[in-house]
Amino acid sequence: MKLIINGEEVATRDGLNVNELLVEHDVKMPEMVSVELNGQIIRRHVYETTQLNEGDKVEFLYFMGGGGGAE
Amino acid sequence: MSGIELPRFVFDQMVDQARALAPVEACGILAGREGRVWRLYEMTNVDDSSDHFMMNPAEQFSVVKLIRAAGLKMIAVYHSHPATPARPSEEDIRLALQPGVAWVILSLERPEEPYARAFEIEEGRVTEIPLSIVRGQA
Amino acid sequence: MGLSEQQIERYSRHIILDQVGGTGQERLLSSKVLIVGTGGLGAPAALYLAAAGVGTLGLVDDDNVDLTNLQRQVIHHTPDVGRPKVDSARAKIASINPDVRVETYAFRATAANIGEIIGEYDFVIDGTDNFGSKFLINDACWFEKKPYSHAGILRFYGQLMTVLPGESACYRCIFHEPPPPDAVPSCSQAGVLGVLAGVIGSLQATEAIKYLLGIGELLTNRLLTYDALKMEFRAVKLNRNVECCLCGQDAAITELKDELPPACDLKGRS
Repeated sequence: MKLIINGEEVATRDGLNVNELLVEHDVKMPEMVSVELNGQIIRRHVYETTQLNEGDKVEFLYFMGGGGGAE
Repeated sequence: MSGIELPRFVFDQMVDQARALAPVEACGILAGREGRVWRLYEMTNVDDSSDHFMMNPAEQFSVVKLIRAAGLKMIAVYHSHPATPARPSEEDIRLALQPGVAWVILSLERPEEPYARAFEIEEGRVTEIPLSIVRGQA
Repeated sequence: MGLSEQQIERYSRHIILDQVGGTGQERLLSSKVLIVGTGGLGAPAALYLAAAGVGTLGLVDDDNVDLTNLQRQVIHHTPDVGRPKVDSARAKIASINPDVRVETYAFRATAANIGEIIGEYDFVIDGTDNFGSKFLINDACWFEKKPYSHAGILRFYGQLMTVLPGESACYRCIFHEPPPPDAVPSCSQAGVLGVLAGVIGSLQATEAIKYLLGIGELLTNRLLTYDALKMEFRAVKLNRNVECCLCGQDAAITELKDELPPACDLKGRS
């Protein structure tokens, strides 16, 4: 099926859930990102149970805590 | 709303617009923050009349979007009275349906001394609120 | 107020801009921006806001200048190593623009002190380098109803967003709570391209100036992401989150706290 991931059209297998998509896209830990699906932020505990469908728009928003300071 | 601070340059813009459109009423929106006006947005008076005004909802919607995008708030709707005092007419009161904004009227009844007054209009009740013309932005 | 001859000359490139003018410049001169963190992001933000003539800049940082900072914190120079960052920054700001008054807060922003500090300012810039502080600033700006610019950088990537509390999406609408300590590396662990701080920090200053002037479209309800390697900017559209634990319905967070908060309570939603 076709998904739009971070603005780009990507072909994936059918029946993928959000967790599986993260793994496929090299997101090492689900805690590194926040996921927006079709305009809504979804909570981590539903990643496994959220099925993706044809045409879904997914954004991975990475946590970035840096500010160029000492840390 | 406790009062409106109107920078002189905005007042001057209102006067220019009103004079250019007289005898038709000019109208527009004043936007700013916390009672201080930052800028005005001229609007079309779709009634094109010398004793009442009506704004185009689509045009108003676009302007409200611009106002919000800039982090400003709509403070007042203004219109001019080319020949009468700066006092809401029966019609002005009847049509003052938008909640949460003040109503500013600019009068050109004394052509060389334009002046403006501000009102809150709620359910037909008119209360004048202070309007002060301020120098600059400080 | 009025501008002096010197100011008209100094700010001439602003004044001839339609959307700025002498009035806009006077507005900037009477505005106050707080920059929390005088490091990578705070440095360019402070430099540009000073150059622009923002009348008062507040600088919050409890740290001293360190050699490792000089790769990106361009407001600090080699002779400043060992000096308190806020002092170093204040000196450069004075040199760029004597019109600017600098208030320094040489201590760490915490739940106890930040609300009072923020209250004095028109706009806040998050120049901090850790999640605890980023969530603290977001929450404090919510409680004080202060508009602010959020930003973060890491490796070759950056992101930023402007928050108008009560009107647009806040940091927690997107990133509910700080990640577990080992999930996301810091800049000192993973590294950061120095100039990234300049790009993103300058964008933060841009948003501050637009807000103060009341012009343009602020970066609200959008997260701007930057990939320096691909040289790509993307603006990801967002909405205020009805389930946000700070600014949503039934918000679980009702007061400002320092410690990384427990997982947002969903209050009956599963």
